[in-house]
Amino acid sequence: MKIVMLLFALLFLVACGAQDAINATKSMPGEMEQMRAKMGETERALGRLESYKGLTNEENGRVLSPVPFGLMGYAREFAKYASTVELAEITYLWIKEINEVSIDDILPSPTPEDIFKFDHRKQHTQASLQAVAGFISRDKLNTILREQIYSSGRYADATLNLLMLRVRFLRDVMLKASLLSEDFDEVGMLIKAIEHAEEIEYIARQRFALHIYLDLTGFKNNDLDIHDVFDPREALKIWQDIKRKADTGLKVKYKDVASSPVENEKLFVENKARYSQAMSLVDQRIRAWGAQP
Amino acid sequence: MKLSLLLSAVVIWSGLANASVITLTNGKTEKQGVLISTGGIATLEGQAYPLTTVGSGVRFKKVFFDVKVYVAQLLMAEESKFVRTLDGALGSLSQQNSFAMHLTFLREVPMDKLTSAFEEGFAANKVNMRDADIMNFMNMVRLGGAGEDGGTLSVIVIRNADGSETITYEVVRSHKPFLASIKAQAGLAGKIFSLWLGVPADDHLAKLKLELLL
Repeated sequence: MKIVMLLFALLFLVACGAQDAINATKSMPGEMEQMRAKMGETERALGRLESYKGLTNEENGRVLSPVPFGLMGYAREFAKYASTVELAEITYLWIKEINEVSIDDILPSPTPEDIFKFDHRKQHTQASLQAVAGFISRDKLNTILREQIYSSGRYADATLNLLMLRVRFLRDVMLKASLLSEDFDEVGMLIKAIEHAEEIEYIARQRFALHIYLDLTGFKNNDLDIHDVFDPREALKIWQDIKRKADTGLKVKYKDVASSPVENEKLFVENKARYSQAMSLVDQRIRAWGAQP
Repeated sequence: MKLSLLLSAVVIWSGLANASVITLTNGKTEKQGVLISTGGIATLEGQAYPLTTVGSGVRFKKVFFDVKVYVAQLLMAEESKFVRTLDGALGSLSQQNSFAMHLTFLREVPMDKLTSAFEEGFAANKVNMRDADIMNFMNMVRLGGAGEDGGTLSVIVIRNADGSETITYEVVRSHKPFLASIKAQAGLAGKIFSLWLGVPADDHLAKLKLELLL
């Protein structure tokens, strides 16, 4: 009898344990989700912190011209990890810093070297901001526009500056200084140029496009000041430049790169199709601006 | 197609030049470390063409920031016939029998960037890139290769008695300098010089044009 009781007790304990285990398993997806969210938040916080440190590190901003290569990777990461509010806020703060901090407040009698360093530091900030603006994803940009422009947010004006910085990055760095200053050897270059141009097109088509601007003053050397107002028709010029580039140099060629002639032929046909689709889009965009392709 | 066009034009190869075909007389003004000339002499096929420097300027290009690209010096045979207005400058070159643009590079400019810059300038001036003379000129640019930091690039125009134009393109650099000429129909020189005196392809070229006209 005692043994039976003992056995029942044992069974009961095992059953309870099993039930606990079953209960724990049922709640596991929810807990795992919470853990994933916390890990994601940690990853985001770390990513934001590390990239911010990289962007503001003096060594990374030592060489800014023609392209601040030392900052680009950090700019991409910061654009990825920062929230939409953080991006709008940092635009506001950094532009304010560039425009309002005067060397005369810091140094009573600055030497030419002091002035150079002071202005360079501001250019570093400008370059960081411009690169971040250029790397923001379209989804994030839409959210920023919703939060700041459409909802008359605290950083609405700074968002107009952010958009101008984004245009400058895409137009001057990714297109003019890069893709459009090289021969279009591959269809991929055409498609990448179109991707960048589409981002500028998207901005140019905003109803408030004519209000997009950037004023950067506060440099001791006034030659470095920037007063830039966005002309939406720049989008048309960029489409025309892409078309001209593709028309003069791009030829889709049969290449012996795959494992068989059949595969090579398939790739050739696919690339021709990509090229046709891309050029058709370019022509469409040009016509949409009232011009002839 | 491109090779046959190049061969069909009258191409005079002077081989690898050790000294530039254009000899400048240095003045006292300096821009970005380059002494601006008061004039010079272009020597082509044994003939000397004296030129006067009528304008100079610095070409910047906007990337992240403005970068210095070259110092430009515009020279011509008869300064008095040069019209120093935005609208009249380019057209007034038709009154010149010889003129030149001499660039001193302030940074290395790869060949594809050089050709791209020329193409952009031609597009801004609505120059037909499929024109045979333009294609021959652009072939010279491609063959001429990169501009070297401290090196020079010159485009020299001689108007011939029969109305044609001889365009000489020279790139001077430490390794493999380049020199070639083409004989073209009247009008090519104006198209080439529209790059600097015509419709500017960007704001910095607009500033350069103003400097050249001062």
